[in-house]
Amino acid sequence: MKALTPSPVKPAALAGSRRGMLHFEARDVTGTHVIEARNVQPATPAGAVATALASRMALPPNVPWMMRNDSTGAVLEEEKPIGDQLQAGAKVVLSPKAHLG
Amino acid sequence: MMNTRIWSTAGRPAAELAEVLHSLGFTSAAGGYELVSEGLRLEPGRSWWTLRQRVGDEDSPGAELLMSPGHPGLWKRVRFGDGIERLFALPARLLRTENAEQEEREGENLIGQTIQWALETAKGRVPEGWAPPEPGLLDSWFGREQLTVVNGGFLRQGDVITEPTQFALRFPIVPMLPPGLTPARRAWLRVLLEEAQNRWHLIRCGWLETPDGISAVLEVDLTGVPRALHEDLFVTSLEAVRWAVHWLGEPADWLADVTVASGLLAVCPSEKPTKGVP
Repeated sequence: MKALTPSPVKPAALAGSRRGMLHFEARDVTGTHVIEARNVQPATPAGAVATALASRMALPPNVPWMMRNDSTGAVLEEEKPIGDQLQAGAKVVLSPKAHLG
Repeated sequence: MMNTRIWSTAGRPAAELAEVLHSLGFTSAAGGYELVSEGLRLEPGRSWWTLRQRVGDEDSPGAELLMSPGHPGLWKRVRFGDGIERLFALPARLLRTENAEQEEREGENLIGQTIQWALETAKGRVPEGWAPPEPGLLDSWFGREQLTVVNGGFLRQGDVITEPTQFALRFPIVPMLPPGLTPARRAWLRVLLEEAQNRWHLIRCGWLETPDGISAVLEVDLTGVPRALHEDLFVTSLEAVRWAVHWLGEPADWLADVTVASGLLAVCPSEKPTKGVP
């Protein structure tokens, strides 16, 4: 099984997303809930964004959630600013953070 | 051993406090002290020290409560009775015991420095020679995660501003006003922000204009704060602003959501002030 690895920071791609608010699409792993996240502050840690999105999707609050960039497959590092890891218009998948054996 | 200190509401011997304030030009008045030349009244209460300055009636040009973010110091406008006052409030406990004793040991006067801070920032000035705390020292006072507020689906990221002439905590409450927000909705949002500014000491609300648009922000501006109060006041302010973001977040989000349809919110709120004491 392929290990989930943190997404690398791409400095060249960051300048644009750091300037203004971030917009992206988020869905849960089943595809049941799709949310257009708007005006997300780029400096917000990705882990906090995942928690808030899970709440908006009415997903269980007692589960830690993580986000995966849909186009690269990379997991966002929860303590790093989301603006350092996503570009505007990106799509992310919200998954429960679980160790599978 | 018997405690022979004289009781006072300020937690300091009354005679000592009066002596310091008289040396700064204050005169004793019922329930506090006045600095007539500046139109200021100081009330050293048990929980809060407040400095008040009347700014005019509701219809006067200076009657707007919300100020542009970035004004140095804790001054803000609040409703008081039928009018508006400028208010500078500080937790009384910060001016007691350890802070004051430390400053006095070092030959400085904390009360005097604090009053000087209030007087200078009342005029929009930063006390001469003031500097914000060093970044490494500042980082030791709090965890960066405290700048993130998550409340259900509500999420806001705050910032600590440390510039040579500014030291402030700032959280956006509405990061970007939507272009389609009606004047009535914006007026309701303003009323909510004014309510918050009236309700909580330290917190100031305002509109922040950036090249990207306008955001509604909460801030505590500590620019000019005496060194002995740096840490305690910063930590207190961070808790206060986090609490206010929690309180304001959801209603502000709702008011700024143009997809929410409401007949009530289509009409501007009454501009007549409600009586309330902060």
